[in-house]
Parts: sequence; structure tokens; C-alpha cells
Amino acid sequence: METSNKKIECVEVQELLSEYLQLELSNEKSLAIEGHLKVCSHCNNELAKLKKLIELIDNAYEPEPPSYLKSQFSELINKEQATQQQGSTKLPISYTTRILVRVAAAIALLLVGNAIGLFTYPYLLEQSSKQEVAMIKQEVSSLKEALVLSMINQESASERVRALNMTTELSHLDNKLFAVLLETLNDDPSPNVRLSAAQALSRYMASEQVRDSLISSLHEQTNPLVQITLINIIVTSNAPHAAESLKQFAKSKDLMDEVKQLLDIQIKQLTI
Amino acid sequence: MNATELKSDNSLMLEAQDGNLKAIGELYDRHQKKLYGFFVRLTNNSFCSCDLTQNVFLRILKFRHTYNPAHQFRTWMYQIARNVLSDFYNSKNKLVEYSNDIDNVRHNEIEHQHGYASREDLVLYRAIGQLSKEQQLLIEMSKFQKLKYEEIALITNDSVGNIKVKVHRAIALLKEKYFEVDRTIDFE
Repeated sequence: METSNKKIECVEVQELLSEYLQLELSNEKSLAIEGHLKVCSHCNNELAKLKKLIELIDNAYEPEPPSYLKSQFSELINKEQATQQQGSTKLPISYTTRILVRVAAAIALLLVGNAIGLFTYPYLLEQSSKQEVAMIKQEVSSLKEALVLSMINQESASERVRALNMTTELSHLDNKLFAVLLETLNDDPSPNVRLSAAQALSRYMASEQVRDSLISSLHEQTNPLVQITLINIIVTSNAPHAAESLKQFAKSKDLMDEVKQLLDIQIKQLTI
Repeated sequence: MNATELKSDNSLMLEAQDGNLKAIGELYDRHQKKLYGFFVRLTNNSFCSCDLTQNVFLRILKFRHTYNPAHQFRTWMYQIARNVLSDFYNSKNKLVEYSNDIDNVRHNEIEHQHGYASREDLVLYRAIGQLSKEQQLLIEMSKFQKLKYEEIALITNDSVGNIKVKVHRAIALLKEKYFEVDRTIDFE
């Protein structure tokens, strides 16, 4: 009987320990708990564990936000200040969003139309040649490109990454898209977005123009992750003169040791 | 050195409503690290946390006129942070579409950051990850952000009494999980 009584008390005490530690209990209850703690080693042990947990939380490592966040936000404030001074109530983001919605609706309509065409008139499909389908495909593709182009101007970096990843659905690279991708690779404030732009462009390394611009972009990049990604893309593309331009890049100052090592290895392999 | 350093959050927000948007920049400096930690711990993803932190302040910037000066700025900010977080949870399926390469980069980034954290911190984060989303949020707000029960009640639209009970329950459970993970995990 006595032991079961004690057990019930332990359960009660342990439920209140957290409140006890935060000094949130009434005097009466606190005293009751202290009385129990004097005689119960098990509950004492639980209290010690709880104290340790709270201490760990209080001293936990605080992750540091990357420094580019602050400058990005300052830019947003400046933009907002500018629109405020124009006396315009329009939000800068709403315009792109509206275009986005319109383009998305257009694609949806097109796809629905396409599907209706495919399912209700199969015989038409047979007759009216693959030409029409090809035309529709091309139209979808150009709409997708328009979507990518408008999404890439979003203020949120993850939206921009999504836009860049959508380029894998595009069949070919035209001059306009190429210019936008290159500009993103060279000038986007977020290294993650620059990385995605490099990946997107790496699919077109068969083009001499793309190869040359990636090589010259390498010299502009300061983030080691972007540098490493570009080096690897350049090496695997079998671009002529790749070894020469990498050698030249290796001479630049302020390279991280890891980047230098990678350059050494890749240059050796290329020149064998 | 700067007069704004002495101003309260609330009065900075009033300045912003009067058209001085630089005041929001000052609020950003004050709170960005805490908010970033909030998102890193709750999403375990430092890349997205940059964006989520920005999104909170972007909303503060856009909706500055809806701020009610009768309430604390901090409470309002965490209300927005909570909304931004649940938007993120809801859109998570879409985010999975990111290419594998980006995922790899992101993981390296987190491991890199974890290089600064101790084993105890890693055990702690792992244990927190085993709680329900609601409990994670309560622990975060009450223990890491040190918000009062009254503030959490306002943010989550719940009663103070309920919040108190839920926080203590979450702490008791976290204690169990922590020592369980501590016994079983080897990070080497």
C-alpha cells in the first residue's frame, strides 16, 4: 500500500517539476515538492535531468544568418521607399505576381485544350498530323519560358531557384533566356541562385557561346561553392582551351585552399 | 552612438508607419538573428531559413499599416513568423522539386554550420525533431525565444492556462527524448 502511494506522488511531483523550476507554483505546492525531493532520489534525479536540459537550451549554439541577407533586405526597403515617394499604393511584387498568374492560367487553358483535343477527337489527331501537336508543344514551351522569365525576377531566392529548375523542362535555349541565365549567374546576390543558374546553363555546354561565357564567369565568382561547381562543369564539357583558362584562374588571389587543390587536380588531368 | 538604439521596437514601428522605412531596417537588425534561429531549428534547413526570415520582414514592410501599436511589436512579429512557417510546411511538397544538386549543397551547408555546434546541441536538436510540430513551436517560443505565456497565447490564439500546461508537457517529453537520443546516438 505504502509503495503504491509513493508512486502516485512521484508521478504528481514529476508533472510539476518544470513549473517548480520556473518558480511558477504556489508556496504551498513548492514546499510539498521540496519535502518529497528530500526523501526521493528518483525524483531528484529527474530534477537534475530537467535542469540540465534547460541549461542546454539556454546555452545552445545560435546559428548565424549569412551577411548577404541584411544587404538584400536594405535593397527591399529602398525599393519600397521609392514606391512610397511616388505616392503609388501599388506593391512592387503584385505586378509580377499578376503576370505570373496570367501566364499560369494561359498554360493551364492550353493544357486543358490540348487534353480535350487528345481525348475527344482521337481520329482528328491521326489525321491532322503531328504538325499541329508539334506547334502546340512549341507554344507551351514558349509560355513556359515566359513563366521562367517572369519568375526569375521574384524577390524570394527560393522562387528564383524554382524558376531556374523549371528551365530543365524547356527544349532549347534562345538568346533571351540565355542572357537572363547569364545575368543571374553573374549578378544574383544569393549564391544558391547563382549555383542553380550554373546548373541550368551546364545543359547547353555544347554551345561555344555558353562555354565561353561560363569560363569568363568563373573569374567573376567569389563564392567557393559556385567556383567549384563551375570548374567541374567546365572540365566535364571538354571545352578546348579549358586547361589554359583554368590555369589562368588558378593564379588569381584569395582562392580557398580547397578550390586550389581541385584546380591542381583538374588541370593535371586535362593536360595529361 | 545612435539615437535609434534607445528607441523601443514599438516606437520604431510607429516611425515606419509615418513613412520612415529605415526604422524597419533597424528592427531587422535587432531581430534577424533570433528569427533565423527560429526557422533553422523548426525547419532544419538553413537555406530556406534565409528566405523565411526575409519573408517575415517583407510582410512587416508591406503590412506596416496594419500594425496595432497597442500590442507589442515582438508578439506581432512572431505571429507573422508563425504564419510564414505554416505556409512553408504547406508548400514543402513543392519545395522537394529542387534538384538533387541543390539538396547536396544545402546539406553540406548545414553540416558546415553544425561544425560549430557541440554534440549536446546535435542531440538536443535531434530530440526536438521527435516532438510534434505544435510542441516544437511551443518549446521554440517559450524556451529559445523566451516569450511569456501571455504572448504565446496571443500568437497561437489559445488561453494562457492551456499554453502553460502544453509547454510543461512538451518540456517533460523533451527531457525523456533528450536522454533517450543521448544514449542511442553516435555522431562519429
